[in-house]
Amino acid sequence: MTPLRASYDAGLHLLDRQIVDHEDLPVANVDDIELLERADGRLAVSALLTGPGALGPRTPGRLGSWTVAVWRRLRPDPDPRPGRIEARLVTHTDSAVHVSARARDLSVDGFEQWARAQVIEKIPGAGRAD
Amino acid sequence: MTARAAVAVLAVAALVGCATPEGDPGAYRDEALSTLKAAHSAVEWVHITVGARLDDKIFARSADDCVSSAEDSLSGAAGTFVGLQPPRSSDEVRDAATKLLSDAQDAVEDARIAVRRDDRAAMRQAYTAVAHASQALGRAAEELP
Amino acid sequence: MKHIFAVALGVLTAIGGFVDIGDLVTNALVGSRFGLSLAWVVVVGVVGICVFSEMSGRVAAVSGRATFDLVRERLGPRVGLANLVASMAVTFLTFIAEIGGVALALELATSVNEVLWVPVVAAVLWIVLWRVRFKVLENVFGLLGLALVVFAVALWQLNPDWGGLWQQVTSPMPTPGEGWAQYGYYAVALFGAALTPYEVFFFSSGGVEERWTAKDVGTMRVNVFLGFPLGGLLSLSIAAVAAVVFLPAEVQVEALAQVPLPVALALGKLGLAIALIGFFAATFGAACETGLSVGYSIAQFYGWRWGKFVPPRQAARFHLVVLLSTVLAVPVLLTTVDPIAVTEYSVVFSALALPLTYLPILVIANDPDYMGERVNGRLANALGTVYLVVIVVVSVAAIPLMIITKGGQ
Repeated sequence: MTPLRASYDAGLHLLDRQIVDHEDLPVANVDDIELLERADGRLAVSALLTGPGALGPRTPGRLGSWTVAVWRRLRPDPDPRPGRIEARLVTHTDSAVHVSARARDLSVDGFEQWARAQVIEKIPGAGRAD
Repeated sequence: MTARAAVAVLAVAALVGCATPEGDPGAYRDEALSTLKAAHSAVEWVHITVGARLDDKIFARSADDCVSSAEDSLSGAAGTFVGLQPPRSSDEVRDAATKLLSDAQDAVEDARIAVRRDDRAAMRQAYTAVAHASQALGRAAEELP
Repeated sequence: MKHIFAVALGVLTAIGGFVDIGDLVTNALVGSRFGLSLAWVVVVGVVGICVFSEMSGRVAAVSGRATFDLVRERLGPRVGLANLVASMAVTFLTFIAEIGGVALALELATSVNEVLWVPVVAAVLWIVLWRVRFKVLENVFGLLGLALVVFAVALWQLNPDWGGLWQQVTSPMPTPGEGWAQYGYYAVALFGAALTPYEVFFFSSGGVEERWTAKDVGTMRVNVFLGFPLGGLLSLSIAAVAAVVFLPAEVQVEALAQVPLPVALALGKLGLAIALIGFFAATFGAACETGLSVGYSIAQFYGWRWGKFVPPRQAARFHLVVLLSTVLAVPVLLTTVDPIAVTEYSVVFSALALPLTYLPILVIANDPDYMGERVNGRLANALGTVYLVVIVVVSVAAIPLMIITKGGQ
């Protein structure tokens, strides 16, 4: 269990990790990290970024630029920001990055909401778990 | 042709792996043998199937499926071979092979008709005919000119 | 009774890996052309899949993370994406083939043409994946798939020359009329079949579906060490009866219709009927396994919520992927492509996906962040490393062999 305050390798312990909510259910993946430079010159993680807007720039070549272009097209605002989870919400990391909020309060899942509304909800039985 | 282009052509030809048998008697004979081997496999499959049906070990439907599939496979192989242009010196090979194939197709056709009609007497006859055809195909490797 | 069902996950995973539609025909083909001279490959494959699925099962139980979660994390987005694409190609192509395989099995039983069954099978399959509980799916298809044990019974009933068979097992070389290239090609095909990536995706995701915790590592191991050897045994039985009946007759197996004939010869119509039930259950089970694995892999790569243990509306993207895959499979099969040919194309992608899948598993199983005290012991690491080398060799050899032998001819 690595508390976020200690100095550590964000690339190894944070990037591309699964983010889970307080019920241990998956929320998203850490597609990118937002850093800020503190007064003493050290870098700190200010937020976790997620979604095609975050992963696209990290994907090399044509595929990456295409992903970002499509993502920008599909967002209503002219200068869209990628899905963002504040670093202060992170409680601890082990095999995943645990955040203290509920998934639906984080609103990083536009595609999920679209899929739910447009397809899944229309099929009978969408509300029942196994 | 530059050396590189020549090598490329040779590589492609090697990959595709075929020298048309038209010019080469050895290759034509190999084609004949491999066709006869595939035919032998199909005919023996029919042999086993008809035998099983006579012993009432398989359903009529399964026997029909098997014999029909084998017949398709056989006519496919035979059709491909017959369509090849034989080199001048290979007419004997061609005659021997096509005779074996056509006997085999006749026997298998009779078997298919008998199985579909569920006619035991006809099946017994076909069983013997198919066995003969199968044996002849099995000997082809030694007996082909 | 409950304990029998506790191993259903392992059995179903193994069935989807060892006796799916491609393997049903390949095992019979190998038996008819090579006898049991390739049996050693199945044994080596069984040990390999046991090693890696135990690792991935342990990771799932201890950390709650399924395999594809780890792939991206350890390989990074670029190589991870390459793996996703390659694995998806294998899994999706196999999924298409399995739907076709169920249709083929139904055609054998009813004489209604395969292509007509395809939309029906796809629809029923999707409804099963949507509504039927994971546990029920496991138990029903795992158990029904065991009907294929009839091949082992048939082998016994045929009263073969056991000495002759053993002779084949201990002579690992091509039979007369076959070359080393063909022998090598089928060795690679059998090894690849035993270690197909979707087996570990499904097994580890299934473990998470079953809410395994560290306490369940014992159950997990029983699943592995019972399920996969059983799968290997079924494989070998199919090959053995083909070796007894078809090899001496010089019949080369090429169609599903030929595969159950030896069982009919040994056990009559009852045996044949059981074999056909086994075909249906194995292909349907494999279709469930691959269909869910397509969803698991994509969802886990992108970090989406997934699984049947949450209501579908909470895992909308996962279910959308599964739905789309099922829908897309139908037009492909309606082109009357032979499902078995489809599995052969997937071999190509397997070659790429195999090393990229198993390396992260080996790495993560050694990571104390994930595993706490349950990191790999020396045996697991030794075996894992050896197998990783074998996997790389097989991957490199797969495509050249495929080209040289033109797909095994």
